[in-house]
Amino acid sequence: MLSEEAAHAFVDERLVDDEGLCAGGQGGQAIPEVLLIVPPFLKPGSPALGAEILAAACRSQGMDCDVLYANLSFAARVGDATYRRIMIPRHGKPLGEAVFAQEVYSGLPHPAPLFATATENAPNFPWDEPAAGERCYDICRAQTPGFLEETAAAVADLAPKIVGFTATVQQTMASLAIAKTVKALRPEIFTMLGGDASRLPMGQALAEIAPMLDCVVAGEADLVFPHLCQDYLQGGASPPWVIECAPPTELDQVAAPDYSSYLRQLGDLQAAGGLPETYPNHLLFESSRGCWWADKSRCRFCGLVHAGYRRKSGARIVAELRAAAERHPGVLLQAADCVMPSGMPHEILPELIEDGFRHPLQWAIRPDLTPAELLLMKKAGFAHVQPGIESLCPSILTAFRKGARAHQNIALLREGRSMRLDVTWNFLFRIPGDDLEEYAGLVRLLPALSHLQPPMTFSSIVLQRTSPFLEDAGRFGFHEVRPSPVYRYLYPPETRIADIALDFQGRWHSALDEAPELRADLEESLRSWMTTWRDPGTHPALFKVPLAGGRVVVQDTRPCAKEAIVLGDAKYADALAYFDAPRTKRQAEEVAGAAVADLLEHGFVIDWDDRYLSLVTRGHGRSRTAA
Amino acid sequence: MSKDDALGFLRHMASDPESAQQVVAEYNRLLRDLAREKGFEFTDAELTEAAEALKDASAGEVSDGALTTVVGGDAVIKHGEDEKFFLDPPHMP
Repeated sequence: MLSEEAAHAFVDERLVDDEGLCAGGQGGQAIPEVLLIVPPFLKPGSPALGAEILAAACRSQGMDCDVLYANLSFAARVGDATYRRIMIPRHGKPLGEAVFAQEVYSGLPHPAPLFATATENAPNFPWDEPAAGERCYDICRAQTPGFLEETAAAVADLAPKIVGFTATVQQTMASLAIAKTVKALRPEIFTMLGGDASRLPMGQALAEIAPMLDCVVAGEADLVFPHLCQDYLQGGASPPWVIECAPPTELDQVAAPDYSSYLRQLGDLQAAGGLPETYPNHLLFESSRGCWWADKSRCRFCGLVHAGYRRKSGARIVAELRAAAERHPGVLLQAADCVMPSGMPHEILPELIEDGFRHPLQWAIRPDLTPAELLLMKKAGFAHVQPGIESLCPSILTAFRKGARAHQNIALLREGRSMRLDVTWNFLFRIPGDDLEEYAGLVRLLPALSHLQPPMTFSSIVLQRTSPFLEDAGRFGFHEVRPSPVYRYLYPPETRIADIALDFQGRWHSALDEAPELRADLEESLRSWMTTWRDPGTHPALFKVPLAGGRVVVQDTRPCAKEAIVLGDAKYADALAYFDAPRTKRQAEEVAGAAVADLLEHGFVIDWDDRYLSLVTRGHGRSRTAA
Repeated sequence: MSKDDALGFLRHMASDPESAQQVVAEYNRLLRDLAREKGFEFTDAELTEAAEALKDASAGEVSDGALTTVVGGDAVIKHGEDEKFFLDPPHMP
């Protein structure tokens, strides 16, 4: 069996001759004293940044440490498509957790309510066909016992002193299931769990229902974990049952990850035909932790930020990017940062570009980056950006305390199209205090935006742990807040669910609740925009090309276009260019004069969020560049 | 040219670049008509350059469109020879 081969290969690479174990070097790897396990359902296309940082830190302290990517062998067992369908918890339904929860706890209800997915708000998700959830769940469940048995056997053969599990999204139950099986075989192995799923109070509540874990590590353990392991290996006291780590203040002290374990295990499975040759589709790096914007003003819906903002030095970031690009040519490097450090493009990219660096990069950014910053990113190799656009409604962005305005979001979408950047964003709506007139205005506006990249999904807001909306729910108009009911399918009744849940439900009043027709119109407009972009080659276009004498020609293939081709004189061209930056109505009338009415009528310029803004992208002629 | 015709051009350009000269000629004709209507003076060379630029930009929109197809999840989606992955956005429902 494929995954069995993979498990054996992982062990065999560490056993070299009849005399027993090899301490590393040619022909084999060192038998790890510390084995970190990456359980399902981490995405198979990239390694685990946290586990690799900890492994590197342990090695730097002289310990033998390796990372076992159990997620890869499980993906190979169930098939890549099935795995990917399960790995992202759709609409707050952690089906992957349910797969392994059934192995950890007896008496849990059948998770059938987690099967259904709302496809209508994500029409471009390709695997959300009806019944996919149940089918994929059944496939995974059928493979789970064999997977656990083989993984535990591989761990037992290696006989590490310590096994650590990394648990982020949908990895907790698989961690517990593997730990339970390992403990049954080798009760002397010390088991630890860390990662985002174990931050407090979640880690404490989890420890209370996880007897297969000897220690739960909460918080950023980069500096603490190696010392815990070293003390234990040297015969010192066992780490405490639950330990909270102070986050490192200087990220330059954090070890750089080494992805050779991941690539080796991935290669073995690919060679056996178990995983696509397209993997890895990205590798992770980090330049910062926390969110610099949140240090000023936390976005009220955001549950991502847990510790204060810290960043690596520019020199360290440049060195890591250069090294990774050299080692992994052509593989996308994705920043794990909450958001790109402020001023980063001008700080590091000119130096990289000057040295000839051009490598696929991806970073989460704020939507108020300037076109000059975006252009630098494009020149350095960025093909994708994740700009933190959650709405195009001014009042919603204000309520979110997003710190970016709706016209800035639209301008970023325009620049993204001009520069051929893939812009990933989601649309959130239905929040307390939202404005019906604004939604109506948005429904009228959306056809004019059809040439810009649409959101990937749209949905009502979700209350997430640590978000200000949850922490101060009553003040923001959320009532009867309680953990999402999905957790009853994962945890035994004695669990302190309120301390372990990530997603919460509640009641609140949205203006849309009283206007079902408008809500339907809004959703249909969004859906139409998204489906228009499903197929390449059919995206509407609205671009301008400069002509001799300062004139301009605009081509418009949006469904709402008044004319397909518009020719403008130099004044018209200047007026259009003037609105590349957002302008007030007064500025528009004073500077652009008579052209404004025509630009508005054609939908080349919009009046939105108290600003006039051009929607026209730049065409790319042979002698012209993306700039 | 109606907008549907223009969109047809975009698709045509992507699938059949060998017809570029025909497309340029069509753009040239359109621009000449528009210029006459607006009272703009263009030389033949300027018109041809503008038509070439429009053709290139249109073709670019189509080819670039293939790179910016919206997909979901963490999938690798095949579009002809292109493969595209997608990365988890924050705050996904």
